[in-house]
Amino acid sequence: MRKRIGDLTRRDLLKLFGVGVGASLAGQVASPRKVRAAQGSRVTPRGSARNCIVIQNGGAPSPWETFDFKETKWTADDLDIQRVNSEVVLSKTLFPRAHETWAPRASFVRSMRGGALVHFPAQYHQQAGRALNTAIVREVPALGSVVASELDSERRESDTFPTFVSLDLWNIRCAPLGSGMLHPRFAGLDLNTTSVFDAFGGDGPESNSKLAERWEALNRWSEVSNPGGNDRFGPKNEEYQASYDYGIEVLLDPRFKTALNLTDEEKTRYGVDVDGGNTKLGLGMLLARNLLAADAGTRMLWVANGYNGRNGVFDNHSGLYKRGVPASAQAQPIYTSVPRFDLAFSALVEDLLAMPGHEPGKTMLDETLIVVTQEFGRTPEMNSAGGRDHFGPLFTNVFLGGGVQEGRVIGKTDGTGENLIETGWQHREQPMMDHVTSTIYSALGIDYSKVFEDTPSGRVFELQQTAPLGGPAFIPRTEIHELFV
Amino acid sequence: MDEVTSDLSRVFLGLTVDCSSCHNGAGHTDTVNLWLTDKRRSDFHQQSAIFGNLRLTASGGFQNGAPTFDDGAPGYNTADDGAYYTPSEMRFPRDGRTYEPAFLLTGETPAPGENPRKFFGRVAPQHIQFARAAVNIIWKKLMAVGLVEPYDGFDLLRLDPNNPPPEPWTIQPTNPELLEALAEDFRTNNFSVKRMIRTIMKSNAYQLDTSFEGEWVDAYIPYHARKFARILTGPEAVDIVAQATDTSATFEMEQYGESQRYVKELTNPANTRTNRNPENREVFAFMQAYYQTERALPPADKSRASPVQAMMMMGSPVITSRVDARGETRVASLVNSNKTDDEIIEELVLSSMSRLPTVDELVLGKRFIAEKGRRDGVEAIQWVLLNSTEFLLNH
Repeated sequence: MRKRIGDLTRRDLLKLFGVGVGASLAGQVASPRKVRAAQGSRVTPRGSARNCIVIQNGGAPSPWETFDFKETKWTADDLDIQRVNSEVVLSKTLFPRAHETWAPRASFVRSMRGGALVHFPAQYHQQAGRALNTAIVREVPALGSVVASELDSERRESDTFPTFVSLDLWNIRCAPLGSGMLHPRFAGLDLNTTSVFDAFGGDGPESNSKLAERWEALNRWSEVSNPGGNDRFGPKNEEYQASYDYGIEVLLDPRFKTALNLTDEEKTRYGVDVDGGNTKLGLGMLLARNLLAADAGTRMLWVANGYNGRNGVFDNHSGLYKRGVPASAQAQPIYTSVPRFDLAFSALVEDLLAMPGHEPGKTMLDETLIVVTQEFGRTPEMNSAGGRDHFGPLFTNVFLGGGVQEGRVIGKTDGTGENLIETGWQHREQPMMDHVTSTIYSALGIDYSKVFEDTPSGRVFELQQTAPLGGPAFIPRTEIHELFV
Repeated sequence: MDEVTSDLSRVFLGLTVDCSSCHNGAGHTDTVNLWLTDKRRSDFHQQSAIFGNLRLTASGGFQNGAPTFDDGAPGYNTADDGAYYTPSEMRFPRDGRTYEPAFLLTGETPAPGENPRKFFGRVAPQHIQFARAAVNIIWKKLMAVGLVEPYDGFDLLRLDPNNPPPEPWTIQPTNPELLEALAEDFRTNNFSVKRMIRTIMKSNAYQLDTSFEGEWVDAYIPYHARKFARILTGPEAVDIVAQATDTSATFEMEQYGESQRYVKELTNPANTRTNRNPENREVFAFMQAYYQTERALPPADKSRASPVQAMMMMGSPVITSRVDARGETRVASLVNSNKTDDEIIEELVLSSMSRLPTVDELVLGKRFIAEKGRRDGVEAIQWVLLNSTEFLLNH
């Protein structure tokens, strides 16, 4: 019988995984080294994108007013439905700019299925790229952390920003997951748009020189204070030093300050000023744009649309069409929430289109896969409170850029959204977040059939999970190929 | 209720029983946990049934106020998952049966007419595992490494050196006799946390220095051959900065209408997030770097240094405003006082490090003041102290 991880001494673990003891004293963290492709299904990743931006809509917007419009007896008559192409219509009232900006360039997957039907596990599923398994939750990294780890070898000398940066993930129900079994440096930097500008924006070059001076003072003090080095603090010291070395590089990199420097004009374009104080979505998308523009190592961006926190702005169990809801409320009627999204998203897509990519002749949008994900759908029938409740069987995700074809509509729902007519792809099973995950991996050049074998629990970790939780049907291992052809 | 069982087992019994919330142990946990391998899914359901009558009656949730419970629910039935929970992908479908309460560790059942929750409150602390789990957590808090790691990963069939598990399993605690003795002491002394902390703190192991003479080898970790420094928690980091800089009132926090000066005084540190005072969002953002989030988040290893912590310590207003000589800070009162440079440096080091400066530190500190001027120099010293390893690692 082979030796189990639980039986190994810490020293054995270190030998096995080659991590510094600083990574954790508790023996919980060990980066897997044994990686193999899943049997018989090695895939060649697409590699069509250099970057990825995920926009996670908190609370699950109603598909039937938004990305899979249905005219039913409940539909409001002021939505001003206008055609985008032969298969897509969108409300001009709710999406005032979409028809000219992102919508013609987007593809829609309308046969998405959600597993969990409450916000926390559904948001977890999005962030981790797999269903919540409470038995191994601590070793499961965020999808962004896996990306950061897989793309680590491509980092350049000049890269100072972390590969994975999230914006306001703290502000939704399922806060940042961290790097799980992977090295802490892949945990991702979650920027809080409420405080990041005050904390790190500073007031120009002067604040940087002050910080540089203090940093120099800190080093001098450290030499005097600990003449033999900081080893006397034991195993955590190495980790602490590394985090400071990493942190100061980002803070003193002028590209970071530049990324935090927003003009009033662009804030207006992103809708930052639309609802006094609750403008995190616009700020998040602006920062995502700037972090890409900085070209300083950040390639995986995650913008959480959490609005006022908790379940999110789209959790419309009541008053979906209501007017006059105070801006401080958790959920907002679609007349408020959807235009806010559209304004920010339109500006983001416009800007990425106007920015040059890495390869000559390509735009940043060409090189950046954008995914708009929802937790689940909402019921085709309206409830007695004028809202729609959680609905797992069908919802729509939006994809564009990064090699995604324009105008694809994958999957078809019936006239009310109650039933699926066709999945629209090569499989009988409906696509799930797990396939969005493999699509992201594939676009970024990562083999999603990879399996980490040496996990702390001993349970293998498939980059794209195929073993089901809560049901008997295995999840096909595949990207959503149809988006790209 | 399955989540309650999961959390209670983890926190109060040191056991992760989630595996058996989906399936029997045999054939699944054989290579993970010997004890769990004997457990069946029905054992888990019976433990969950202890809270089958529990009902949350007051809304507002755990985050924002005191939740109110009663025992008005009809019992535990695995068919009743509630409208939004069916189907759930969190667990395999359940069998739809009703289960009667029984304590997972002993199989005991409530006395006739006994409230199942009170029953649990009665029998769980009597079991030595309750005391083992508690002392292990206290030990870990103080010593950075638990006698059993992780704290919620006890394997009950691998604790007794006189009854060792079959090969290749080994005894789990790094010092099983010590764990047992501490647990017995805790139980026989009315579960006095204060006494346990005192006992551990007075031990030779706790009193060790973080430094180590000779070549350090990681295999010494289980023997506690030195004191291990650990990363601070979010509330600790905010509060010690406030204390060191004499600015505990800078980010005034409210709770139930009363102002609090330290995060540790709040029922939940995450309350700073929704506090009306916008400056407190800075505190929340700061603590977030130290893994302080809402309680719904699955537990992570919180003793990890991250670049975000370093960035916050160097740049967040939680720090920069507190080293500013223009604010109401220790730095300001020192700069504006008649104190000599020596006296200023002594006070800064004493209030941040709980020790006096060394001669070399005094010389360097005075050089900073000479180079940068009194205000910038004193600010720089305070900033340097807050960002030093000595300040930031609990040691």
